[in-house]
Amino acid sequence: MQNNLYFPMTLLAVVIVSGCGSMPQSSSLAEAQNSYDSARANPKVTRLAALELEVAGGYLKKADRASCEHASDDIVDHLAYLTKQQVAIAEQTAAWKTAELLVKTATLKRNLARRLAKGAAGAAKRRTLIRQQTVNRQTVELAAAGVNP
Amino acid sequence: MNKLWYLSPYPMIRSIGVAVAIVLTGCASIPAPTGQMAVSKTAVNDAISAGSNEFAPRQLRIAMEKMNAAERAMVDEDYLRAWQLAEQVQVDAQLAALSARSAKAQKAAYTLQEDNRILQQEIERNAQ
Repeated sequence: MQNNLYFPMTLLAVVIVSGCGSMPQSSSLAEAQNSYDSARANPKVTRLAALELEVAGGYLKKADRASCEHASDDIVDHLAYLTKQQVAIAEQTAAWKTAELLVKTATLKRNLARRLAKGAAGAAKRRTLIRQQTVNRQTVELAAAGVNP
Repeated sequence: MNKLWYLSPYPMIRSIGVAVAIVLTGCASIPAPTGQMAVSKTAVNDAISAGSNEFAPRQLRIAMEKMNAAERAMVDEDYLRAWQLAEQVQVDAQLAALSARSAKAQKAAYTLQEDNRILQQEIERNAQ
């Protein structure tokens, strides 16, 4: 019984050791690898969409393995497509979160600006009122002094 | 070696033979991807409610066309094709939804910043 295991086990070992480092990549797989690498190099994406990028990494690993195991082009292309789209999802998630952050800060700024604008309008009204009162007082004083302005 | 080596009496070799036989028979062993179809349909609906028909119409159209193709493949019992298409619909629709949300947020941020600019001018005018 033990002897019967040698051949398949050796075959398995050869397959595992040889891996597929020298395998020529399909163009779709190379494209997926490139888009994944560039997203990985983008700190905005790694910081704001780490989870989404991890999913993309999972798809890429599957695509790589399928290519290694000589799966049909159809399967490799499919997994490469999922990788590419998932990378785009990660990038779009980062863009979305950035825009949401902009909305938040702009809202805060607007609320502050509205308060300031109200304050400034009030101050302007007060200044006009004081100026008017000063003019009125001076007119009265001048009239009392017998001067006709 | 016997021609029917996959029926070899040795358990190890026989199990490999059975595995190869399953792979060779192919599609017959793939179950209908009903779960994946439901997930993908939900993703398309989510993309529509996110406003992708206005902000990401091309991506939404691609997702919907693939969803129709997946449904046809289900009817034809071509489950491998249905499965692949449905998986693609899921990522396509998610991307469409995110693109729409991202575009909407960017638009809102722009409007707010414009409002702020006008308010700022008003404050400066009043301060004089």
